Amino acid sequence: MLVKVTSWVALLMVAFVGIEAAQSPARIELQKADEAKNEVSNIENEMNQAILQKDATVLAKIYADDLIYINGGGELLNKSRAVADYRTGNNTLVHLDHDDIQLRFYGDTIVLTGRSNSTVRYKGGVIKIPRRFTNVFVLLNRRWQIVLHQVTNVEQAPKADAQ
Amino acid sequence: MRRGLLLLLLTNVLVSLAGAQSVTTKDNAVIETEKKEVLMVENEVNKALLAGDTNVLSRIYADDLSYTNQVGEILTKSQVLSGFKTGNIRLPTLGRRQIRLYAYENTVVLTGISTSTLRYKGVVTNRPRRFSNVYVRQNGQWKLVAHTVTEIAE
Repeated sequence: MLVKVTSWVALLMVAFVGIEAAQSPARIELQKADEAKNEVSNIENEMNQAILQKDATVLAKIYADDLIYINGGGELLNKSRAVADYRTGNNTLVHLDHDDIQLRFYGDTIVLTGRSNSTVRYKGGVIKIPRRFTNVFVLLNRRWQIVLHQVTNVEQAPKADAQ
Repeated sequence: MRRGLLLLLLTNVLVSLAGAQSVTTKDNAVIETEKKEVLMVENEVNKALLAGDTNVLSRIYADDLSYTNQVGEILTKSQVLSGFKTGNIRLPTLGRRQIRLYAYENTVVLTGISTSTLRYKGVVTNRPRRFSNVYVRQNGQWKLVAHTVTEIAE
């Protein structure tokens, strides 16, 4: 008797889940988007920690093989060059400061944008000016990977003359 | 009864797995066709930019477009279209080189160098800029979802 009742309850639960899924595709899509955005946010954090720690192994895992990396000076780097720069200290993230992070979900692609006030040491020079950045994540072989990273320096308004 | 339950559960699990997967194996011919389609859309955008044709731009720009211009401002679709309508944004001449395309499942990333003359808020620039355009296929149409520009340092 108990087995029968349990079976019916289980069947009803499965049927309910099925009906829910069939009736609210928009809700499922929203849930899927939220889950994907959370996952990508975690990967973004993992990547930032890897950059701080010069962890080339983690970066190589997150960067797609055909990564397009455009830095604030408009240089175009490939994956091996970008990873090597972090590993060797040619590109060092001294202090991490990101805000205004926004994620847009397009199924198997997520566009993440944000503002960076981080301090970076690149080729001996120190960069502190505010920058905008775009990271494009694509689901490749079930893993979110960065295919495009692009930085744009924010133009500073001329300072008012103190006199 | 139990067999029926198992079948239902198995079906649900399989549907979930299929939804989570991303198939990345695509025929080369399909990839090339998609790149050509995106190039055609990109050419259409370029002509519309020159002509200030906001109808065409509005059709190709995704509603939630992320547009980062050369001075690091993030503009929405309506701000960009309004800029062209009011004359705040003008593209008198078009110059593009080193165009490259990277195709993924439903996404194509296009990169290049722009040497176009651009007038923005009264300031004219023709310094070379590296740009990327991210196109995503939505309801069978390629839409521009992200445009990012970076001035190339001298």
